[in-house]
Amino acid sequence: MLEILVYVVSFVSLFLAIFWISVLFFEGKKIDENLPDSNYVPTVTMLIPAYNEAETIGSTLKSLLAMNYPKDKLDIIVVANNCIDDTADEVRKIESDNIKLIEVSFDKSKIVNCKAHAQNLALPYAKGELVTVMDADAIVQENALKLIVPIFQDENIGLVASSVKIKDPKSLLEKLQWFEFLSATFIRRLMASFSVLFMTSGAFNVYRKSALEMVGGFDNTTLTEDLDIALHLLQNFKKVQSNLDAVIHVRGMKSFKSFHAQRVRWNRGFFAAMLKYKDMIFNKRYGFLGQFMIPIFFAVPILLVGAVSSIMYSLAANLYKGLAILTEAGRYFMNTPTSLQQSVWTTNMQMLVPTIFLILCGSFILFNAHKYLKETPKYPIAGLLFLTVYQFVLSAYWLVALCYELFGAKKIWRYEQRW
Amino acid sequence: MVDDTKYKQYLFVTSLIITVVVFCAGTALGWTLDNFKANSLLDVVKQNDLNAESFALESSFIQGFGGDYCTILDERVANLQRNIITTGKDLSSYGGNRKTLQESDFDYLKRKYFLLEARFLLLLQNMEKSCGNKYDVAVFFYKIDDASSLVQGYALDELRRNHSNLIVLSFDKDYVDEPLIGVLLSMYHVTDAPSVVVNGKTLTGYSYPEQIEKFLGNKVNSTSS
Repeated sequence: MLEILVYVVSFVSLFLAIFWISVLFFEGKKIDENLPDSNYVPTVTMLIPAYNEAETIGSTLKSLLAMNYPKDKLDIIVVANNCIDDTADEVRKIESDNIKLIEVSFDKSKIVNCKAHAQNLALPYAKGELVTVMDADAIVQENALKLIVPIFQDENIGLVASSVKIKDPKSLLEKLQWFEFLSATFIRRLMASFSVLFMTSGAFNVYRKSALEMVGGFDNTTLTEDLDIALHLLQNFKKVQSNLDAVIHVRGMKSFKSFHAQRVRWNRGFFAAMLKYKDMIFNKRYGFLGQFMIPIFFAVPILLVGAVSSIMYSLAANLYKGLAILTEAGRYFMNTPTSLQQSVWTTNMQMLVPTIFLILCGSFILFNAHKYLKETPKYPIAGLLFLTVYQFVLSAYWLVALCYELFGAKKIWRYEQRW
Repeated sequence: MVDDTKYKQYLFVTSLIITVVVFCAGTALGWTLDNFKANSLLDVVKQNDLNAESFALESSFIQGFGGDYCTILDERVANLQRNIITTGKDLSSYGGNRKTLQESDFDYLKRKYFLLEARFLLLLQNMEKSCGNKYDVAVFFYKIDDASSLVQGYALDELRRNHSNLIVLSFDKDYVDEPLIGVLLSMYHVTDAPSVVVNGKTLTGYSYPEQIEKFLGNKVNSTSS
């Protein structure tokens, strides 16, 4: 059973990797192309929900004011949600007519997603034709908005995602996230080039306000409002795009505790979104997105849950057996030589060849992610771990998230946790 | 941006074909390696078979025409012992990773191997009658996927390294395809695994090397090459 599951997971993973490489091969020249400057300069509202972000909000606002987008077309709304620190004071310190501060207070215990709730509260105050929702710790590159806005000339575009990178990673955990964000951004761009992008980062997304109003704003009952809104827009036949050169830097999760909470939330949110938009799965009306991309993205976590459970069970059983052997006959075991021929003979070639191919494909995608996102290769050890161990850790989080869902853990963002 | 459905289908199908090809390549390589393993093992088993037959004939000749029977026997025993150890290890590594399609091959090899061991055991007994008790013989009965049997195997390997005149012959206790195993079990009164029969004395359950050593009669007089 375990072997079959591992085969299926490897097959699907390898297929996806080869598929994205094929897309890259055929679409490579187009994916980092930007639309030329035009007379299309719509009004844009930058909406920043903030919960105790006194430490970062100042830098974020300064980066927004430094953008090369016409100031008369830009307004910034900071929604200070139940803040108990100096977030509001920090916002007031920055003197600009473009910035508006809204302080809101509500009973957080009754709302699953306070960020989405805060966004909805501020939406009526947004005057822009386009609304950008961004994290309060994001540092925006000066031309980010100018690169994204022209894409909205297509009336059917409902959402454009940016490139999100981890800012100055220091620890191994942050470096691993740096690789993860880099490859995820690149894959998202490939998905967008194929009109099948449905997962975006919530750190900096630009929406058409009319599209947001059409779908009734953000769902505050889900843990991942960014995924939910993208699917909701696609369900209403709006297009989702992305831009590689519009770069945003965010902080990585510094501690394992916050990393754990974030991954559980993302994966739980993913399962919930898949169930909520199940009518899109295998639905011909949504073309390649409904017939291929969503089903395969839904199937992969389920397969991973099965594979990870089986692998963990098998590892535990072997560990128990191994410990018994080592305890009883450790020294004999260590003295028993293993020849090279025996090592080769005991290798499962049926599994080894696709695994090597998968790692090569992953490396190729990562190499191209560096190239297209204009990053120089760095952190070799973290890179190696990202391609191997980290993938297993991420896979294990699907199992953890499913357990949280099955055992009915309360859906709520921890108050002490950042957005 | 790409919207052409046929183009998307083309990419989808191409990627699927490449993935299938990679998996087939892996499977083909695995099967080729399995076949290679099976064939090389079969060659070794055949060679061992031939050696045992040649040895039996040689013994008859020497007994008929005269000669230094025991010296020749010593060389033969050392040679056969080495072959049995190597074949056993190869067979066990092959067995741990074989695929369903090679089940019959593996079964055949395993049976051949047990028969070879049984023949060797018989030769050792005949030798003992003619040349005296030169070797310690441990007949090891194991169970597959049993931690104690695995531990016992490692312990016997260790003993063999320290006692050059110890010959270990291993048999799968539950291997019912070969009736000879049943005969051995009954002959040595073995009911469970792991069990080790050392110079005729049956030790049931896991036995520490120190326990086994008590029954080794030729600790000092090591003569094997």
